[in-house]
Amino acid sequence: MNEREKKLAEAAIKAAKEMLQSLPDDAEYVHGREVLTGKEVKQKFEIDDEFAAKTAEQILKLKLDTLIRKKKDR
Amino acid sequence: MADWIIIRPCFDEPTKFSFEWAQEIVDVMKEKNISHVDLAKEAAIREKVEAILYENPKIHVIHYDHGDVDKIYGNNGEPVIDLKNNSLLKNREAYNMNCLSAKKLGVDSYHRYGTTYWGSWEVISFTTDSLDEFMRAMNFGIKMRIDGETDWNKIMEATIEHDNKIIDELIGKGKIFAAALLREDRDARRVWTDKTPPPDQNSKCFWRNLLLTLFGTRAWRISKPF
Repeated sequence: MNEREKKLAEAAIKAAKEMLQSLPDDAEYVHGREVLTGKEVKQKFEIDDEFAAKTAEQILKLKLDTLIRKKKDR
Repeated sequence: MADWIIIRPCFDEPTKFSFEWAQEIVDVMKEKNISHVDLAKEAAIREKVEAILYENPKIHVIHYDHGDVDKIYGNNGEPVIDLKNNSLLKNREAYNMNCLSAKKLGVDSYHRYGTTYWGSWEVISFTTDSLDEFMRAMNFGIKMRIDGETDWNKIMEATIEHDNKIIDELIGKGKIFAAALLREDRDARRVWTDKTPPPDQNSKCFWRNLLLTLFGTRAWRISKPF
């Protein structure tokens, strides 16, 4: 990974972590039949690369979606 | 003759929530005197679903939770509708708050049996810190239908707008993760109608593929092509 990619990855990880902070530790995340507490979600983010990547993608897509919708509303 | 059947199992953590969401639909139907059959908890099993569908040729179907690409589940963990009995969905409307069933079950039901199928292309996610917001999002479409809107494409359009409002509301409350999940749920939702049919697909049967080439997607509704 080059310097540029590292910086982008760091930014995505930071944004994803901030997003996960919005889920209280005692709340539950339900994904189909899977149920995790907020605390478990944050732990999973640290150890499961695929989950972490998906979470980073989720925040980026949310941000993009919000920007596109705001632009359409103008 | 009832207008709607509501199938709502309750056998694990996620279905505890979806069961309550479906309760709101039952309450609305009671309030508006809309005839319905409520198959709740232990009653939400295949035999009962099949019997109701046989007895009521015009009844439409609502199912709240657990599904897979080719089936939707009942309270005993067994499918209530799958690719073996989905002919029972012929010419009906099916509103699904379950994971993935728009993929195969929805596509097959639409192609072969003319079912108007509302469902999800992906696994549905939500968080319990925003249960009210997710319930409003999941119930909006069927409530609009109960209120008299019969054009499912209009319902889909309005539901997306409604989802967007809730997403912004969640962002405003700082519930960013919940907002991100609802955006995913929104984009995974599908409604298979003649205006928005499923993407083209090939059959494993040579003869059906030939008919599909000749007659387009209408060829799916020919029961035995040889």
